[in-house]
Amino acid sequence: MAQHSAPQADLAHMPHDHAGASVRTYVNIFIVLFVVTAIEVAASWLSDIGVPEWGEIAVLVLLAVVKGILVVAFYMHLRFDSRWFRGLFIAAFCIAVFMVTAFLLLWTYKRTVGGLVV
Amino acid sequence: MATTAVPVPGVGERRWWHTVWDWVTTVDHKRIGILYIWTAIFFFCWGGVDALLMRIQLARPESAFLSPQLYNELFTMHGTTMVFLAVMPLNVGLGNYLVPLMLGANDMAYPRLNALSYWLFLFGGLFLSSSYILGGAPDAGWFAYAPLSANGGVLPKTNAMDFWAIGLNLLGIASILGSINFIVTVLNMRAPGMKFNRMPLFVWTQLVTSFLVVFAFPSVTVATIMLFFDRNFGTAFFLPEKGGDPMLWQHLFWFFGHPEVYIMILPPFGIVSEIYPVFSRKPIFGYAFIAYSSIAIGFVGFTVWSHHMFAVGMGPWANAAFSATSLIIAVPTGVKIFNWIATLWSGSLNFKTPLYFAVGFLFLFVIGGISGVMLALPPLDYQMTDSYFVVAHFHYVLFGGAIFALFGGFYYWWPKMFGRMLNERLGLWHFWLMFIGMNLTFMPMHYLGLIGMPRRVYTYEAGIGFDFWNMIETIGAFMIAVSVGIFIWNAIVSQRHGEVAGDDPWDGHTLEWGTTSPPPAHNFDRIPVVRSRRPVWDLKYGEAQEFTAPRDTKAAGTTDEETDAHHGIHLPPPSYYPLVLAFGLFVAAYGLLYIYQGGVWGIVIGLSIASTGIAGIASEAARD
Amino acid sequence: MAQAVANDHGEHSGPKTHGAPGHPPTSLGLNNRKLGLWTFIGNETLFFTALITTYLVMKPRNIALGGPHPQEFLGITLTAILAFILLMSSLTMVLALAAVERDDQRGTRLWLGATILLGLMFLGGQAYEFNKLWHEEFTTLQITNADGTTERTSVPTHDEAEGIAALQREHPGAQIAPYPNPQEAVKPVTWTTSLFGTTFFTMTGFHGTHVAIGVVWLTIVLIMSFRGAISSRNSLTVELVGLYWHFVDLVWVAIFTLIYLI
Repeated sequence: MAQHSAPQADLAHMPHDHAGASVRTYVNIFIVLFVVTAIEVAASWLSDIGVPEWGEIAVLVLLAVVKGILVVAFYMHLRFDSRWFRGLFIAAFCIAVFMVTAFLLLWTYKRTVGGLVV
Repeated sequence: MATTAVPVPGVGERRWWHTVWDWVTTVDHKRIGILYIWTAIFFFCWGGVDALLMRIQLARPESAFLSPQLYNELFTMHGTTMVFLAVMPLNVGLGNYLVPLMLGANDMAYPRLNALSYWLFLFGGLFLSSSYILGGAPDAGWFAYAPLSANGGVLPKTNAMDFWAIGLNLLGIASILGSINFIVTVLNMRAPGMKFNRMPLFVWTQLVTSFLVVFAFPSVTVATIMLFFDRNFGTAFFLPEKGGDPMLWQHLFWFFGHPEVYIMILPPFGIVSEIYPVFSRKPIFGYAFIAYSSIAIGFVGFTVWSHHMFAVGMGPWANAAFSATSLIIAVPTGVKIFNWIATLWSGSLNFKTPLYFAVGFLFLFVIGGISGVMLALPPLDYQMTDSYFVVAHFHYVLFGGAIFALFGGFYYWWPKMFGRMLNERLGLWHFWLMFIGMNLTFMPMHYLGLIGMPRRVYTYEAGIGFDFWNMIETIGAFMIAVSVGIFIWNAIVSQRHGEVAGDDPWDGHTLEWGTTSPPPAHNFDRIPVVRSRRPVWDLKYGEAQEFTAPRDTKAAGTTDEETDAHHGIHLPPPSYYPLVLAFGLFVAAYGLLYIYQGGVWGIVIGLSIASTGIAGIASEAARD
Repeated sequence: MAQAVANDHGEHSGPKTHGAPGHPPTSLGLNNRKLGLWTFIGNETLFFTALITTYLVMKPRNIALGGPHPQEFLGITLTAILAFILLMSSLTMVLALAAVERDDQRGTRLWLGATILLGLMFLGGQAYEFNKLWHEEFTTLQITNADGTTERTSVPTHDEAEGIAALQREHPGAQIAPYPNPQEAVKPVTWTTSLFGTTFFTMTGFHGTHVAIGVVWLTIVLIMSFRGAISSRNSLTVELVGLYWHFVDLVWVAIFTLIYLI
């Protein structure tokens, strides 16, 4: 908590800790986000040109993760802010990823409903 | 702003409604804690009456005391009430009262939000309970398995499970807001020197529990919303005849439901972790393990949920995986048991009622834990699932575990909360009756389950070996009821006739014993400075001479008018807006329930009232 | 030593002013309201995770039961525009925060207003999309293969003949017929006619509701700003609504990829 060494610091000014997140950074991040989104849209046709489906999914998920990290790190200031906020968000994110993965795995076990395997 | 909320009795005459108004508008964590506890005790008794009615029905074979429908409603409401309206709020109530005191804070981080949580809990409880007089109570079990709960076109549509789905969301909002409040309080409101590894273990378990609520409740929120949609708006999330998947309900419910078990049991772990060291006059054995293993239990608790569903056909891989995680989570819990035994070992034991309950907890919880490990094995579970064995298991954990620890906590902290001791003699009667009654009620259920008595069935045939033990169980249940009656009598009588407790009747060592009993509104006259895990012990027996630092009014950044006589402490003024907001949501909930009978207006009116509440709270917070 | 410990945590003096300018130092040095909001975001993360998970596990089931194929009804163009709008609104949101931190009142109002406008545009786009889907139709088909096994699928009704022809080429010798009969096989893509509709409208509907709540919150902050109640002293007011807004954007990043593109 080095940045909070001054106990009397006015907390309303704490956001200033994210030095470096200037207007220019914000705009640059937006440009990157825009470009990645464009790549994502393009990548959604990967399976149409013969790339296996899992490859397309991997690329798209990876790109979404990149976008998410950029938004969280810069627009939500986690890169510059307290490690407590980071820890909170990462904990939630880990449980979220675990939930999605576990449920998808559980649903790969085939069951029959009304004569149809689903 | 204070003038709008508190009718100050000008001529010095205080009428009863002034007192009521004080309590209704209170934002003091101690008063809110007491409100929580008494409301939860009320619902605990109500859920207990549900149980007694079921036990009367089951005392004799082929009894016609209850109709099958009423029996279904009773076991559903018994489970729902005990989980959401008794054990959870009892934990929250004790936590509310004690966490700020134990941390050396003046209040919770958000006092008004705290009041809001309480009112939402109360209204959620009333909403659920009102189902009895509005067309029948929920009747599909506290787990509300779809498609039964989603009304798959089999039964005539009633509002029963809609009450359940909406009521759970009111309670869910209350729990989530309350937990955010606890998290911020524990992380941010600690007294100087109160590092994480000096926090009382009760605070630790409340912190972990709060995170569990924050991360686990969304799953059941989503599930109950979908259930409501299925029942009312023609969707088919869980209705197999329309393509839905009832398994999804079970997974979403238990993804919440298993962390919920830890939400209920972790704070009781914390309670006994406070009681053992004080009553064996020794520091707790393995503080760090108990604290950090709670975090481990919290995380692993998210990976075991499907052990509630071994028998539904998830396939061998899933069953094996969830069996493994369920066995793993038993390890940190098991080590805690040894921590507690080691704390008692060779201690100078002061056998008072709190310690009786705490030791009773240890004994009963171990039995529940072992039957839990048995149920974690899928081949055994196939045989025992949906039998009385499971009922025995979770009552040993939740009644023998959570409720015993909570009563121990009440005997321990009652003197702090009300300034008078609870009667020791009555306390021991309470303990022994409850302990014997509990074992009479639930121990035979192991046996009945193993010989094949199914749970959730309203009766059984005569002469198949169930008769004798069911009668014994009913007798045990009434012993428990008498013991709870003794506790309530004890609590009421001691208010006036109890021995005056003094600040520190048990020779305690956590910060709550360093202030008066009951504490003043601002908790501490001087800021405690913490130098070890046992700050009050340091003060009494250690070298620490300066227990507290004087308050610096300037540092608080408050103006003179906000600073009252209480040593420069600014406490937020009483507010009725939390009640207004909760009441608005209560009205909107009925609107949602009667959506096809003009309930839209109820929603509009309810949300308007709620908006007034939000605006009021926001403006008060801005002025604060 | 003890003195040092006490200093570590500042003069934690207890009185709480909850994020107002005179907010006292806290144990972690973090603002209470911000910490609470982050905790709430953790809660909301799991809320949307449950909704998205539901969509994903229902997706194969929807197709197996002859529900509409998502990629035949969800236009990537429209949704890419929506994604762009939300990303844009995140940019204007941080620009509003940057403006309020340097006490630029005009900038604050401009960027807050722009964020609100973009939020409303997103909601408009979503309403348009919902309405469009609601008026489209799909036909459930049953394929009876030569070996007697059956499976179900669906085609958009407006080019049913073409779709059946394509399926026929994929399944030579199979019998393809509307299921369960030609009258009941055709359904609109609504909330209740298929698992796709049910899960899709629920999930995006809740996201839209969050956007709407964000717009209301932003509007309140904008009004406060016009009343001169927002300055660098309480820039936290803008920061908090910003955190919520970016989180809602983040959810759309996930939905955009997992639901629209995959």
